[in-house]
Amino acid sequence: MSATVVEGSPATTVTTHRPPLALTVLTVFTALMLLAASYMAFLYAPTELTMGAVQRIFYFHVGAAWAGALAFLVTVVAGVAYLITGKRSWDIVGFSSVEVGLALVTITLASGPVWAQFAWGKPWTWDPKLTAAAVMWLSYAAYLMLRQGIEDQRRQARFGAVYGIVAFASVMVTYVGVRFITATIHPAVVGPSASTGQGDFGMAPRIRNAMIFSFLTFTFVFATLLWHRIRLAHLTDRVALLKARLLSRLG
Amino acid sequence: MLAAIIQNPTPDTVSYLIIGYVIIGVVGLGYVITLLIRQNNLRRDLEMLKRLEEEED
Repeated sequence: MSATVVEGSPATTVTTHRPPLALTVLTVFTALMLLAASYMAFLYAPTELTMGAVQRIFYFHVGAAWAGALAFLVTVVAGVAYLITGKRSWDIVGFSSVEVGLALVTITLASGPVWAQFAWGKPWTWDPKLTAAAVMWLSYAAYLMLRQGIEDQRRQARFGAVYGIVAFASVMVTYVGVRFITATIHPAVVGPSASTGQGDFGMAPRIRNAMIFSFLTFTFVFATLLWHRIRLAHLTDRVALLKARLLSRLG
Repeated sequence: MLAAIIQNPTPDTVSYLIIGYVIIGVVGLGYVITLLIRQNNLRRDLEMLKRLEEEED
């Protein structure tokens, strides 16, 4: 929920806090999708014979990883659009997408060690895939922290746009580059891989269906969170605008 | 086939599954809660600034 500010009048007027109907519908739909994805993960998909129930972490672990990568791709698009147009709205899309992507990748990085503890006997290893994922997470965490250190909004936006484009290299290395490395023990879930992962498993039709549904669900989760985060950024701008206006009157 | 299943029964890893989904829930819900808190704080700020502006007028 955010406020609609009518500008141009002597007193800035807050008229409503209600989100648009489309966002409400999308939020409810996403919640239902998450319920359905949980059903698919826990009940519809069969229990994997070698690993047992822990394999079911896979559906949300991989779904969140996919949506995280999508979020960082949106940041690239927003960064390019900002550099071309210079519009604040593209900057907002860019950093909002980084924040949502970081939350999604945190889900992946935090849930993976639980599965790894059983499959590999240890929660973390400095395997190329895991190391690349950790570097990617740190790159985007640094993006948010470094942005905060820049006061001028235009410089902040330019920095964000360029950084967002460059940082995407870490996403490419994590999701594509490591596929060509045979030394990784992390199984490749989608597409061909040069490695033989430990904890790999065959994709039975029901496992594949649940995985595809999870991908779709997390795409909606990303879209919903992004929209809410963008509205929050607009609200922040409105508060900053009002503060500046009041300060200029008082000063 | 049956002998192989008996020799290598599917391990009981439900506790790992529960821990995994608790972590997923905590991170996911945690982020949503931070969004809501920030939104509520901003709305409060906005209302207060609006009142101040009206008083100034």
